[in-house]
Amino acid sequence: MFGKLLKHDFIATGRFMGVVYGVFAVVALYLVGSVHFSGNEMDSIGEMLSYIVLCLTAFVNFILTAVVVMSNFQKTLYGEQGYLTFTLPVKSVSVMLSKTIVSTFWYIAAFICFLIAARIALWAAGEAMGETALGLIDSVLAMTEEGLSISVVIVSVIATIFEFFFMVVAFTMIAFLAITISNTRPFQKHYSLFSMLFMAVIGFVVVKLSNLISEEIYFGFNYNFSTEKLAFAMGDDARLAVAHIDIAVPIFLVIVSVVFFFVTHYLMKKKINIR
Amino acid sequence: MAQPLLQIRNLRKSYGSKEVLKGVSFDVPQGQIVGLLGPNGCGKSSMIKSIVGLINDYEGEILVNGQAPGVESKKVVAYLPEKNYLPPWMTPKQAINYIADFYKNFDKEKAIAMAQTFELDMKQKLKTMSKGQQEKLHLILVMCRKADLYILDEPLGGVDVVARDFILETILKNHAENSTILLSTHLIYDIERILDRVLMVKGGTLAVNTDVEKIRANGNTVENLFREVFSNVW
Repeated sequence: MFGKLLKHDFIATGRFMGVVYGVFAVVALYLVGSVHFSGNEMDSIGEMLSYIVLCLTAFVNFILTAVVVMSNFQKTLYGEQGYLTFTLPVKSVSVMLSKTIVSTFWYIAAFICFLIAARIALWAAGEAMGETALGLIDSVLAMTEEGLSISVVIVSVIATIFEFFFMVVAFTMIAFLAITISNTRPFQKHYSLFSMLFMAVIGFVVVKLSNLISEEIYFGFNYNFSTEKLAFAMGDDARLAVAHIDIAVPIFLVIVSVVFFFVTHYLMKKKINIR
Repeated sequence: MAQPLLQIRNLRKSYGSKEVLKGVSFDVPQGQIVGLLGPNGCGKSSMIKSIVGLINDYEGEILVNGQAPGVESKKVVAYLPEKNYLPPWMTPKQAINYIADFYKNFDKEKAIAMAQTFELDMKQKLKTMSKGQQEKLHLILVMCRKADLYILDEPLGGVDVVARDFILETILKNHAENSTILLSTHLIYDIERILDRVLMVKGGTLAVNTDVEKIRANGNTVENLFREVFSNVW
């Protein structure tokens, strides 16, 4: 049954997101093909426009994902469609889990689009300058005072992806919790307003705590340039490292996500009366 | 004696300080058509929502086939809410596939055949359908399940007399053998002839719980009894 829930949540959200990714794919293919076949120079208006559309789509994807995911959560659980969802012979925790997985999937897809757009931009710029993308990054890095290498960039990108994943899950759980609280009896009449308000308040507290942790607690993995491997480090070793993947904040975000998941589930099961 | 299909003991439900169900108790045996009657705001919908698992913060005990509302009870209860619960982008084909995915007792072939009989366009989106077409689809989705208990919340509300006859006929023709139907309505005249039992809810309590045969044996009708019970409500 859980597979069925996932399937139908993907269908419900994918109707819209599919169009967005379709546009992204067409524009990306056009841009790559056009630059490749036109002597490696991005000089036509069409190419420039498609590049702008590509970057915009990559950025707008995040906003659209958030809107689609939150709207789907509100409509299918606390709107009239809740009459269908909550009478299905499935556990309410499965309903929550399915929505969490589907929303995380779409955020990751948005992030991948962003990376693809960045990669295409680098490729197009590299092609125009007669260099490979990595070569181009290396040339830019060589100009910095520290003379950073490409390995630092790769480790930083991995660290960003790693943190991004946990941020996305935490953000999803903050949104679900905020929407759920705003659908309880005291706030139900103005649920849209209270959803935004609770999201801002809970989000603010989580960000503040994350910042506090990232400033006070250092542990994670340092990249060792001589062995080219990751090694666990904490304290000053971690704080002063050039290439470091932090795990203190991700652990905090995991705890926050799990707690919010179960609080949302409790409220959904015990405190919500569908309109 | 066989266990009643639906058992409700001392059911209480409040919204804030307002108590809408004040300790309701009754049993519904298998194979009956039961009318759940009462004016708007008497607690019928809260009772139904508690039985189908939409409301969980009630006090008292509800048992469907001996089980509290949950995954197992939802398998055997087919619920028709008063509202349109399907997403507006769905087509009848998608809605039928959706229900078939979740309920093993849903007869997909019968649903497709009924949709054709009712002249529903399988590719038409719900948002472009008329209210009557939407109600037909909802009825198909509920009545094509071989359920033990059908709970129909105001299925006759807001439709003309011809549509009411059509809906009642569809319900009677298609419900599973030996199943129970709990039918909530305030249009008593239309359903009186099909009822085996009536429950009348007044101010959050059960004012009447009796067989229709007994009402008739006393030379009365359900409609008249309803008038007597609720004469002081308005």
